[in-house]
Amino acid sequence: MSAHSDQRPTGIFLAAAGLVLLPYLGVIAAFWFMQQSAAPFFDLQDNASYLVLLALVGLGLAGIVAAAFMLRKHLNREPLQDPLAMQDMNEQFIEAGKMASIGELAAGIAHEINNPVAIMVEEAGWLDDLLQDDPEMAKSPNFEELKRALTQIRTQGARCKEITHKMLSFARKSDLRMQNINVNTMIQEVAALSEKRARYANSRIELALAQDIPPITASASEMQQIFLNLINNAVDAMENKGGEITITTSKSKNMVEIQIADTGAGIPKANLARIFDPFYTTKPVGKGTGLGLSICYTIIKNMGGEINVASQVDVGTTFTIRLPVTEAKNHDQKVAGSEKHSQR
Amino acid sequence: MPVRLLLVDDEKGFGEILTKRLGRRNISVTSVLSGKEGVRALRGQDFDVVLLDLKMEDLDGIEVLKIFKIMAPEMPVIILTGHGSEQAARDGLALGAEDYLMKPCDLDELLGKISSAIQKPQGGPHGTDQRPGGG
Ligand SMILES: Nc1ncnc2c1ncn2[C@@H]1O[C@H](COP(=O)(O)OP(=O)(O)OP(=O)(O)O)[C@@H](O)[C@H]1O
Ligand SMILES: [Mg+2]
Repeated sequence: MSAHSDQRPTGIFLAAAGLVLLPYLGVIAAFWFMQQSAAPFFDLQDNASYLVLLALVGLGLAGIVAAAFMLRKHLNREPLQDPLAMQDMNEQFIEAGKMASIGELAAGIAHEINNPVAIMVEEAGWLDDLLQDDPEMAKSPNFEELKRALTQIRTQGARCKEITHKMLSFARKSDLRMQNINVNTMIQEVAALSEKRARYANSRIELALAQDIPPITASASEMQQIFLNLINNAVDAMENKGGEITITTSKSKNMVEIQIADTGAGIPKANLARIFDPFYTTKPVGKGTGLGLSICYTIIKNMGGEINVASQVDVGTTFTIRLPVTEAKNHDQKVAGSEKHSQR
Repeated sequence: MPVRLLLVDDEKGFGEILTKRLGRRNISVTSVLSGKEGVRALRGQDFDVVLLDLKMEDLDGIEVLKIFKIMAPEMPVIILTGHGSEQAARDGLALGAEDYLMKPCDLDELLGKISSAIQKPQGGPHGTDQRPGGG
Protein backbone atom coordinates (compact mmCIF):
# COMPACT_ATOMS: atom_id res chain seq x y z
CA MET A 1 0.00 0.00 0.00
CA SER A 2 2.62 2.54 1.09
CA ALA A 3 4.99 1.61 -1.77
CA HIS A 4 2.21 2.19 -4.20
CA SER A 5 1.20 5.53 -2.78
CA ASP A 6 4.85 6.65 -2.71
CA GLN A 7 5.40 5.85 -6.33
CA ARG A 8 2.49 7.78 -7.64
CA PRO A 9 3.51 11.30 -6.61
CA THR A 10 7.12 10.63 -7.69
CA GLY A 11 5.85 9.82 -11.15
CA ILE A 12 3.71 12.91 -11.25
CA PHE A 13 6.62 14.98 -9.98
CA LEU A 14 8.96 13.74 -12.74
CA ALA A 15 6.37 14.28 -15.42
CA ALA A 16 5.61 17.81 -14.21
CA ALA A 17 9.30 18.71 -13.92
CA GLY A 18 9.84 17.38 -17.44
CA LEU A 19 6.98 19.46 -18.75
CA VAL A 20 8.33 22.63 -17.14
CA LEU A 21 11.87 21.89 -18.26
CA LEU A 22 11.04 21.21 -21.89
CA PRO A 23 10.12 24.74 -23.04
CA TYR A 24 12.96 26.10 -20.99
CA LEU A 25 15.44 23.87 -22.80
CA GLY A 26 13.80 25.06 -26.00
CA VAL A 27 14.50 28.68 -25.12
CA ILE A 28 18.15 27.94 -24.33
CA ALA A 29 18.47 26.03 -27.58
CA ALA A 30 16.98 28.97 -29.48
CA PHE A 31 19.46 31.38 -27.91
CA TRP A 32 22.30 29.07 -28.81
CA PHE A 33 21.04 28.74 -32.33
CA MET A 34 20.65 32.49 -32.74
CA GLN A 35 24.14 33.06 -31.42
CA GLN A 36 25.50 30.65 -34.05
CA SER A 37 23.56 31.89 -37.03
CA ALA A 38 22.54 35.48 -36.36
CA ALA A 39 25.62 36.87 -34.71
CA PRO A 40 25.32 40.25 -36.39
CA PHE A 41 22.01 40.98 -34.62
CA PHE A 42 22.95 39.76 -31.16
CA ASP A 43 26.16 40.98 -29.89
CA LEU A 44 26.96 38.28 -27.35
CA GLN A 45 30.65 38.33 -27.88
CA ASP A 46 31.49 40.45 -24.85
CA ASN A 47 31.68 38.91 -21.40
CA ALA A 48 28.94 41.05 -19.91
CA SER A 49 26.27 39.61 -22.22
CA TYR A 50 27.48 36.07 -21.51
CA LEU A 51 27.23 36.65 -17.77
CA VAL A 52 23.71 38.01 -18.09
CA LEU A 53 22.63 35.00 -20.12
CA LEU A 54 24.26 32.58 -17.71
CA ALA A 55 22.59 34.30 -14.76
CA LEU A 56 19.22 34.00 -16.46
CA VAL A 57 19.73 30.30 -17.11
CA GLY A 58 20.82 29.77 -13.52
CA LEU A 59 17.85 31.68 -12.11
CA GLY A 60 15.47 29.70 -14.29
CA LEU A 61 16.93 26.40 -13.14
CA ALA A 62 16.63 27.45 -9.51
CA GLY A 63 13.00 28.39 -10.18
CA ILE A 64 12.27 24.98 -11.66
CA VAL A 65 13.83 23.16 -8.73
CA ALA A 66 11.85 25.27 -6.27
CA ALA A 67 8.62 24.71 -8.17
CA ALA A 68 9.26 20.99 -8.34
CA PHE A 69 9.85 20.81 -4.60
CA MET A 70 6.69 22.71 -3.86
CA LEU A 71 4.75 20.49 -6.20
CA ARG A 72 6.06 17.43 -4.49
CA LYS A 73 5.28 18.77 -1.06
CA HIS A 74 1.77 19.64 -2.16
CA LEU A 75 1.24 16.20 -3.64
CA ASN A 76 2.28 14.64 -0.36
CA ARG A 77 -0.50 16.54 1.34
CA GLU A 78 -3.20 15.27 -1.08
CA PRO A 79 -5.96 13.55 0.93
CA LEU A 80 -5.87 10.65 -1.52
CA GLN A 81 -2.50 9.75 -0.02
CA ASP A 82 -3.90 9.29 3.43
CA PRO A 83 -5.80 6.01 3.72
CA LEU A 84 -7.70 7.29 6.76
CA ALA A 85 -8.96 10.39 4.99
CA MET A 86 -9.96 8.26 2.04
CA GLN A 87 -12.02 5.98 4.25
CA ASP A 88 -13.78 9.00 5.67
CA MET A 89 -14.68 10.21 2.20
CA ASN A 90 -15.97 6.82 1.15
CA GLU A 91 -18.18 6.73 4.16
CA GLN A 92 -19.66 10.08 3.25
CA PHE A 93 -20.34 9.04 -0.31
CA ILE A 94 -22.03 5.85 0.77
CA GLU A 95 -24.21 7.74 3.19
CA ALA A 96 -25.23 10.30 0.58
CA GLY A 97 -26.17 7.51 -1.81
CA LYS A 98 -28.19 5.76 0.85
CA MET A 99 -30.16 8.89 1.61
CA ALA A 100 -31.06 9.49 -2.01
CA SER A 101 -32.47 6.02 -2.40
CA ILE A 102 -34.46 6.27 0.81
CA GLY A 103 -35.96 9.47 -0.55
CA GLU A 104 -36.87 7.81 -3.81
CA LEU A 105 -38.25 4.79 -2.04
CA ALA A 106 -40.35 7.00 0.18
CA ALA A 107 -41.84 8.79 -2.80
CA GLY A 108 -42.53 5.50 -4.56
CA ILE A 109 -44.24 4.01 -1.54
CA ALA A 110 -46.29 7.13 -1.00
CA HIS A 111 -47.52 7.07 -4.59
CA GLU A 112 -48.36 3.42 -4.58
CA ILE A 113 -50.10 3.44 -1.22
CA ASN A 114 -52.43 6.33 -1.93
CA ASN A 115 -54.45 4.43 -4.51
CA PRO A 116 -55.25 1.29 -2.52
CA VAL A 117 -55.98 3.41 0.55
CA ALA A 118 -58.33 5.59 -1.49
CA ILE A 119 -60.19 2.49 -2.64
CA MET A 120 -60.43 1.08 0.87
CA VAL A 121 -61.79 4.34 2.22
CA GLU A 122 -64.34 4.56 -0.59
CA GLU A 123 -65.42 0.94 -0.09
CA ALA A 124 -65.96 1.67 3.59
CA GLY A 125 -67.99 4.70 2.59
CA TRP A 126 -70.03 2.53 0.26
CA LEU A 127 -70.86 0.11 3.08
CA ASP A 128 -71.87 3.10 5.14
CA ASP A 129 -74.18 4.22 2.32
CA LEU A 130 -75.77 0.77 2.23
CA LEU A 131 -76.21 0.62 6.00
CA GLN A 132 -77.92 3.94 6.06
CA ASP A 133 -80.35 3.05 3.31
CA ASP A 134 -81.50 -0.31 4.51
CA PRO A 135 -84.07 -0.15 7.33
CA GLU A 136 -83.54 -3.86 8.02
CA MET A 137 -79.88 -3.20 8.73
CA ALA A 138 -80.65 -0.54 11.28
CA LYS A 139 -82.56 -3.11 13.31
CA SER A 140 -79.62 -5.48 13.44
CA PRO A 141 -78.01 -5.80 16.87
CA ASN A 142 -74.64 -5.29 15.21
CA PHE A 143 -75.59 -2.03 13.54
CA GLU A 144 -73.68 0.20 15.95
CA GLU A 145 -70.62 -2.01 15.82
CA LEU A 146 -70.63 -1.96 12.04
CA LYS A 147 -70.88 1.81 11.99
CA ARG A 148 -68.06 2.12 14.46
CA ALA A 149 -65.83 -0.21 12.45
CA LEU A 150 -66.48 1.72 9.25
CA THR A 151 -65.68 5.02 10.91
CA GLN A 152 -62.47 3.50 12.18
CA ILE A 153 -61.47 2.34 8.69
CA ARG A 154 -61.93 5.86 7.40
CA THR A 155 -60.04 7.47 10.26
CA GLN A 156 -57.11 5.15 9.72
CA GLY A 157 -57.25 5.82 6.00
CA ALA A 158 -56.92 9.52 6.70
CA ARG A 159 -53.91 8.70 8.83
CA CYS A 160 -52.26 6.87 5.93
CA LYS A 161 -52.87 9.90 3.80
CA GLU A 162 -51.13 12.14 6.29
CA ILE A 163 -48.09 9.89 6.35
CA THR A 164 -47.80 9.58 2.59
CA HIS A 165 -48.18 13.30 2.12
CA LYS A 166 -45.37 13.96 4.55
CA MET A 167 -43.20 11.42 2.77
CA LEU A 168 -43.93 13.04 -0.55
CA SER A 169 -43.18 16.52 0.65
CA PHE A 170 -39.84 15.12 1.75
CA ALA A 171 -39.04 13.54 -1.58
CA ARG A 172 -40.63 16.25 -3.67
CA LYS A 173 -38.56 17.46 -6.52
CA SER A 174 -40.56 20.47 -7.60
CA ASP A 175 -39.54 23.13 -5.12
CA LEU A 176 -35.86 22.44 -5.07
CA ARG A 177 -34.76 25.63 -6.81
CA MET A 178 -31.64 26.78 -5.02
CA GLN A 179 -31.48 30.45 -4.17
CA ASN A 180 -29.67 32.83 -1.89
CA ILE A 181 -31.45 32.83 1.41
CA ASN A 182 -31.21 35.18 4.32
CA VAL A 183 -31.53 32.85 7.28
CA ASN A 184 -32.64 35.61 9.65
CA THR A 185 -35.55 36.70 7.47
CA MET A 186 -36.63 33.13 7.00
CA ILE A 187 -36.55 32.45 10.74
CA GLN A 188 -38.62 35.58 11.42
CA GLU A 189 -41.23 34.40 8.94
CA VAL A 190 -41.43 30.87 10.28
CA ALA A 191 -41.50 32.14 13.88
CA ALA A 192 -44.43 34.38 13.01
CA LEU A 193 -46.21 31.39 11.48
CA SER A 194 -45.63 29.27 14.57
CA GLU A 195 -46.40 31.92 17.13
CA LYS A 196 -50.06 31.12 17.48
CA ARG A 197 -49.42 27.44 18.02
CA ALA A 198 -46.69 28.23 20.53
CA ARG A 199 -48.88 30.61 22.49
CA TYR A 200 -51.65 28.03 22.56
CA ALA A 201 -49.18 25.63 24.19
CA ASN A 202 -48.17 28.27 26.71
CA SER A 203 -44.74 28.85 25.23
CA ARG A 204 -42.92 31.81 23.75
CA ILE A 205 -40.52 32.11 20.83
CA GLU A 206 -37.49 34.35 21.40
CA LEU A 207 -35.22 35.37 18.55
CA ALA A 208 -31.55 36.24 19.02
CA LEU A 209 -30.39 36.87 15.49
CA ALA A 210 -26.89 38.10 14.71
CA GLN A 211 -26.76 41.00 12.30
CA ASP A 212 -23.90 39.97 10.03
CA ILE A 213 -25.25 36.65 8.77
CA PRO A 214 -24.16 35.95 5.19
CA PRO A 215 -26.65 34.35 2.81
CA ILE A 216 -26.76 30.59 2.26
CA THR A 217 -27.65 28.69 -0.90
CA ALA A 218 -30.72 26.54 -0.34
CA SER A 219 -34.26 25.81 -1.36
CA ALA A 220 -36.65 28.13 0.46
CA SER A 221 -39.30 25.48 0.98
CA GLU A 222 -36.77 23.04 2.36
CA MET A 223 -35.43 25.61 4.80
CA GLN A 224 -38.97 26.36 5.89
CA GLN A 225 -39.59 22.66 6.47
CA ILE A 226 -36.51 22.41 8.66
CA PHE A 227 -37.47 25.32 10.89
CA LEU A 228 -41.13 24.34 11.09
CA ASN A 229 -40.29 20.78 12.06
CA LEU A 230 -37.84 21.85 14.75
CA ILE A 231 -40.15 24.50 16.19
CA ASN A 232 -43.09 22.09 16.17
CA ASN A 233 -41.01 19.52 18.01
CA ALA A 234 -40.01 22.13 20.57
CA VAL A 235 -43.61 23.20 21.09
CA ASP A 236 -44.64 19.56 21.49
CA ALA A 237 -41.90 19.02 24.05
CA MET A 238 -43.22 21.90 26.17
CA GLU A 239 -46.86 21.05 25.83
CA ASN A 240 -47.40 20.22 29.47
CA LYS A 241 -45.71 23.01 31.33
CA GLY A 242 -45.05 25.65 28.68
CA GLY A 243 -41.67 27.27 28.28
CA GLU A 244 -39.43 29.14 25.95
CA ILE A 245 -38.00 28.51 22.51
CA THR A 246 -34.87 30.47 21.71
CA ILE A 247 -33.65 30.67 18.14
CA THR A 248 -30.12 31.98 17.78
CA THR A 249 -28.12 32.66 14.64
CA SER A 250 -24.41 33.31 14.35
CA LYS A 251 -21.57 32.99 11.90
CA SER A 252 -18.70 30.61 12.48
CA LYS A 253 -15.98 30.41 9.86
CA ASN A 254 -17.67 29.55 6.56
CA MET A 255 -20.82 28.29 8.21
CA VAL A 256 -24.01 29.87 9.43
CA GLU A 257 -24.98 28.42 12.76
CA ILE A 258 -28.58 28.21 13.91
CA GLN A 259 -29.61 27.01 17.34
CA ILE A 260 -33.12 26.11 18.32
CA ALA A 261 -33.32 25.60 22.05
CA ASP A 262 -36.34 24.69 24.13
CA THR A 263 -36.99 24.29 27.84
CA GLY A 264 -39.12 21.23 27.33
CA ALA A 265 -39.17 17.62 28.43
CA GLY A 266 -35.77 16.72 26.96
CA ILE A 267 -34.76 13.45 25.31
CA PRO A 268 -33.56 10.49 27.37
CA LYS A 269 -30.06 9.41 26.45
CA ALA A 270 -31.28 6.01 25.28
CA ASN A 271 -33.49 7.63 22.62
CA LEU A 272 -31.00 10.20 21.43
CA ALA A 273 -29.41 7.96 18.84
CA ARG A 274 -32.73 7.16 17.23
CA ILE A 275 -34.48 10.50 16.90
CA PHE A 276 -33.19 11.08 13.35
CA ASP A 277 -34.45 7.69 12.16
CA PRO A 278 -37.44 7.76 9.84
CA PHE A 279 -40.68 6.81 11.63
CA TYR A 280 -39.14 7.01 15.06
CA THR A 281 -41.61 8.79 17.28
CA THR A 282 -42.60 8.84 20.93
CA LYS A 283 -45.81 10.70 20.20
CA PRO A 284 -49.25 9.11 20.37
CA VAL A 285 -50.90 7.65 17.30
CA GLY A 286 -52.21 10.39 15.05
CA LYS A 287 -49.91 13.04 16.49
CA GLY A 288 -46.50 12.15 15.16
CA THR A 289 -45.31 10.34 12.07
CA GLY A 290 -41.66 10.31 13.11
CA LEU A 291 -40.60 11.80 9.81
CA GLY A 292 -39.84 15.36 10.91
CA LEU A 293 -36.26 14.99 12.03
CA SER A 294 -35.27 12.50 9.36
CA ILE A 295 -36.45 15.01 6.77
CA CYS A 296 -34.40 17.75 8.43
CA TYR A 297 -31.37 15.52 8.59
CA THR A 298 -31.53 14.56 4.93
CA ILE A 299 -32.01 18.11 3.69
CA ILE A 300 -29.16 19.45 5.81
CA LYS A 301 -26.77 16.67 4.84
CA ASN A 302 -27.53 17.19 1.16
CA MET A 303 -26.66 20.85 1.57
CA GLY A 304 -23.28 19.94 3.02
CA GLY A 305 -24.29 21.03 6.49
CA GLU A 306 -24.75 19.25 9.78
CA ILE A 307 -27.23 18.96 12.60
CA ASN A 308 -26.45 18.10 16.20
CA VAL A 309 -28.52 17.70 19.28
CA ALA A 310 -27.83 18.24 22.95
CA SER A 311 -30.49 17.39 25.47
CA GLN A 312 -31.12 16.88 29.14
CA VAL A 313 -34.28 15.36 30.53
CA ASP A 314 -36.52 17.93 32.25
CA VAL A 315 -34.16 20.75 31.27
CA GLY A 316 -34.49 21.06 27.55
CA THR A 317 -33.15 20.32 24.12
CA THR A 318 -30.97 22.30 21.73
CA PHE A 319 -30.63 21.51 18.05
CA THR A 320 -27.63 23.09 16.35
CA ILE A 321 -27.53 23.39 12.57
CA ARG A 322 -24.51 24.47 10.58
CA LEU A 323 -24.93 25.37 6.93
CA PRO A 324 -22.26 26.46 4.45
CA VAL A 325 -22.49 30.11 3.40
CA THR A 326 -22.84 31.06 -0.25
CA GLU A 327 -19.51 31.76 -1.86
CA ALA A 328 -18.08 31.93 -5.34
CA LYS A 329 -15.81 29.02 -4.50
CA ASN A 330 -18.31 27.09 -2.49
CA HIS A 331 -17.51 23.63 -3.85
CA ASP A 332 -14.63 22.77 -1.57
CA GLN A 333 -16.57 23.27 1.60
CA LYS A 334 -18.48 20.05 1.60
CA VAL A 335 -15.28 18.13 2.12
CA ALA A 336 -13.98 20.66 4.60
CA GLY A 337 -17.00 20.33 6.86
CA SER A 338 -16.74 16.57 7.25
CA GLU A 339 -15.11 16.42 10.67
CA LYS A 340 -17.96 14.96 12.63
CA HIS A 341 -21.58 14.05 12.09
CA SER A 342 -23.75 13.86 15.12
CA GLN A 343 -26.05 10.89 14.77
CA ARG A 344 -25.93 7.64 12.80
CA MET B 1 -81.39 14.68 -15.13
CA PRO B 2 -78.30 13.30 -13.46
CA VAL B 3 -74.94 15.03 -13.72
CA ARG B 4 -72.80 13.31 -16.36
CA LEU B 5 -69.32 12.75 -15.01
CA LEU B 6 -66.32 11.30 -16.81
CA LEU B 7 -63.82 9.61 -14.52
CA VAL B 8 -60.38 8.99 -16.02
CA ASP B 9 -58.32 6.87 -13.64
CA ASP B 10 -56.23 3.80 -14.35
CA GLU B 11 -57.07 2.39 -10.93
CA LYS B 12 -59.91 -0.02 -11.75
CA GLY B 13 -61.16 -0.55 -8.19
CA PHE B 14 -61.36 3.16 -7.60
CA GLY B 15 -63.47 3.72 -10.71
CA GLU B 16 -65.84 0.95 -9.74
CA ILE B 17 -66.51 2.12 -6.22
CA LEU B 18 -66.76 5.78 -7.17
CA THR B 19 -69.27 4.87 -9.88
CA LYS B 20 -71.46 3.19 -7.24
CA ARG B 21 -71.15 5.89 -4.63
CA LEU B 22 -71.66 8.84 -6.96
CA GLY B 23 -74.43 6.96 -8.76
CA ARG B 24 -76.49 7.02 -5.58
CA ARG B 25 -76.02 10.76 -5.43
CA ASN B 26 -77.52 11.46 -8.81
CA ILE B 27 -74.24 11.58 -10.67
CA SER B 28 -73.92 9.17 -13.56
CA VAL B 29 -70.31 8.11 -13.91
CA THR B 30 -68.58 6.94 -17.07
CA SER B 31 -65.41 5.34 -15.85
CA VAL B 32 -62.46 4.85 -18.19
CA LEU B 33 -59.05 3.46 -17.36
CA SER B 34 -56.74 5.46 -19.59
CA GLY B 35 -56.23 8.85 -21.15
CA LYS B 36 -56.83 7.47 -24.62
CA GLU B 37 -60.14 5.91 -23.59
CA GLY B 38 -61.03 9.22 -22.00
CA VAL B 39 -60.47 11.07 -25.25
CA ARG B 40 -62.55 8.44 -27.09
CA ALA B 41 -65.39 8.76 -24.55
CA LEU B 42 -65.43 12.53 -24.88
CA ARG B 43 -65.60 12.22 -28.66
CA GLY B 44 -68.78 10.09 -28.30
CA GLN B 45 -70.74 12.24 -25.84
CA ASP B 46 -70.81 15.41 -23.73
CA PHE B 47 -70.01 15.49 -20.05
CA ASP B 48 -70.80 18.04 -17.37
CA VAL B 49 -67.59 17.48 -15.47
CA VAL B 50 -64.41 15.40 -15.60
CA LEU B 51 -62.42 13.83 -12.79
CA LEU B 52 -58.91 13.27 -14.07
CA ASP B 53 -56.07 11.31 -12.52
CA LEU B 54 -52.71 12.91 -13.26
CA LYS B 55 -50.54 9.84 -13.20
CA MET B 56 -51.46 7.19 -15.75
CA GLU B 57 -49.57 4.73 -17.88
CA ASP B 58 -50.44 5.64 -21.45
CA LEU B 59 -50.81 9.42 -21.56
CA ASP B 60 -49.63 11.80 -18.90
CA GLY B 61 -52.70 13.25 -17.20
CA ILE B 62 -51.46 16.73 -18.01
CA GLU B 63 -51.47 15.84 -21.71
CA VAL B 64 -55.00 14.49 -21.40
CA LEU B 65 -56.00 17.76 -19.75
CA LYS B 66 -54.57 19.76 -22.65
CA ILE B 67 -56.49 17.64 -25.16
CA PHE B 68 -59.73 17.94 -23.16
CA LYS B 69 -59.34 21.69 -23.00
CA ILE B 70 -59.07 21.79 -26.78
CA MET B 71 -61.97 19.38 -27.34
CA ALA B 72 -64.32 20.96 -24.79
CA PRO B 73 -62.94 24.22 -23.39
CA GLU B 74 -66.05 24.88 -21.28
CA MET B 75 -66.14 21.51 -19.56
CA PRO B 76 -64.75 21.77 -16.01
CA VAL B 77 -61.95 19.34 -15.16
CA ILE B 78 -61.16 18.43 -11.58
CA ILE B 79 -57.77 16.88 -11.04
CA LEU B 80 -57.97 13.90 -8.74
CA THR B 81 -54.73 12.21 -8.03
CA GLY B 82 -52.79 9.96 -5.75
CA HIS B 83 -49.73 11.68 -7.06
CA GLY B 84 -49.51 13.85 -3.96
CA SER B 85 -47.41 16.49 -5.59
CA GLU B 86 -49.25 19.78 -5.26
CA GLN B 87 -46.96 21.20 -7.92
CA ALA B 88 -48.33 18.88 -10.61
CA ALA B 89 -51.85 19.80 -9.57
CA ARG B 90 -50.97 23.49 -9.73
CA ASP B 91 -49.58 22.96 -13.24
CA GLY B 92 -52.98 21.49 -14.05
CA LEU B 93 -54.75 24.58 -12.67
CA ALA B 94 -52.53 26.77 -14.82
CA LEU B 95 -53.65 24.77 -17.82
CA GLY B 96 -57.29 25.41 -17.12
CA ALA B 97 -58.31 22.74 -14.63
CA GLU B 98 -61.08 23.84 -12.29
CA ASP B 99 -59.79 22.46 -9.03
CA TYR B 100 -57.82 19.59 -7.57
CA LEU B 101 -58.13 16.94 -4.89
CA MET B 102 -55.61 14.60 -3.34
CA LYS B 103 -56.40 10.92 -3.01
CA PRO B 104 -57.60 9.56 -0.72
CA CYS B 105 -60.21 12.27 -0.43
CA ASP B 106 -63.39 12.72 1.46
CA LEU B 107 -66.52 12.05 -0.59
CA ASP B 108 -68.23 15.15 0.77
CA GLU B 109 -65.25 17.21 -0.29
CA LEU B 110 -65.39 15.70 -3.75
CA LEU B 111 -69.14 16.34 -4.00
CA GLY B 112 -68.59 19.94 -2.97
CA LYS B 113 -66.01 20.45 -5.68
CA ILE B 114 -68.15 18.77 -8.31
CA SER B 115 -71.18 20.91 -7.50
CA SER B 116 -69.22 24.15 -7.46
CA ALA B 117 -67.52 23.21 -10.74
CA ILE B 118 -70.77 22.62 -12.59
CA GLN B 119 -72.51 25.63 -11.06
CA LYS B 120 -69.76 28.02 -11.90
CA PRO B 121 -70.97 30.68 -14.32
CA GLN B 122 -68.46 30.41 -17.12
CA GLY B 123 -65.89 33.16 -17.22
CA GLY B 124 -66.90 35.04 -14.07
CA PRO B 125 -65.51 34.82 -10.57
CA HIS B 126 -67.29 32.35 -8.35
CA GLY B 127 -67.77 31.77 -4.65
CA THR B 128 -66.43 28.45 -3.51
CA ASP B 129 -69.13 26.12 -2.41
CA GLN B 130 -67.18 23.97 -0.04
CA ARG B 131 -69.01 22.00 2.52
CA PRO B 132 -67.09 20.97 5.60
CA GLY B 133 -66.00 17.37 5.15
CA GLY B 134 -67.91 15.26 7.65
CA GLY B 135 -67.19 11.66 8.60
N1 LIG C 1 -37.31 19.37 20.96
C1 LIG C 1 -37.53 18.10 21.36
N2 LIG C 1 -37.69 17.82 22.67
C2 LIG C 1 -37.93 16.56 23.08
N3 LIG C 1 -38.03 15.48 22.26
C3 LIG C 1 -37.87 15.70 20.94
C4 LIG C 1 -37.61 17.01 20.42
N4 LIG C 1 -37.51 16.91 19.09
C5 LIG C 1 -37.68 15.60 18.79
N5 LIG C 1 -37.90 14.87 19.90
C6 LIG C 1 -38.12 13.42 19.95
O1 LIG C 1 -37.74 12.84 18.71
C7 LIG C 1 -38.83 12.13 18.15
C8 LIG C 1 -38.76 12.20 16.64
O2 LIG C 1 -39.02 13.50 16.19
P1 LIG C 1 -39.58 13.73 14.72
O3 LIG C 1 -39.74 15.18 14.51
O4 LIG C 1 -38.70 12.99 13.79
O5 LIG C 1 -40.96 13.02 14.72
P2 LIG C 1 -42.29 13.44 15.48
O6 LIG C 1 -42.20 14.85 15.94
O7 LIG C 1 -42.56 12.41 16.51
O8 LIG C 1 -43.37 13.32 14.33
P3 LIG C 1 -43.62 14.33 13.11
O9 LIG C 1 -42.57 15.39 13.20
O10 LIG C 1 -43.47 13.51 11.89
O11 LIG C 1 -44.98 14.84 13.30
C9 LIG C 1 -40.06 12.74 18.77
O12 LIG C 1 -41.14 11.85 18.77
C10 LIG C 1 -39.58 13.08 20.16
O13 LIG C 1 -39.60 11.94 20.98
MG1 LIG D 1 -41.59 16.39 14.60
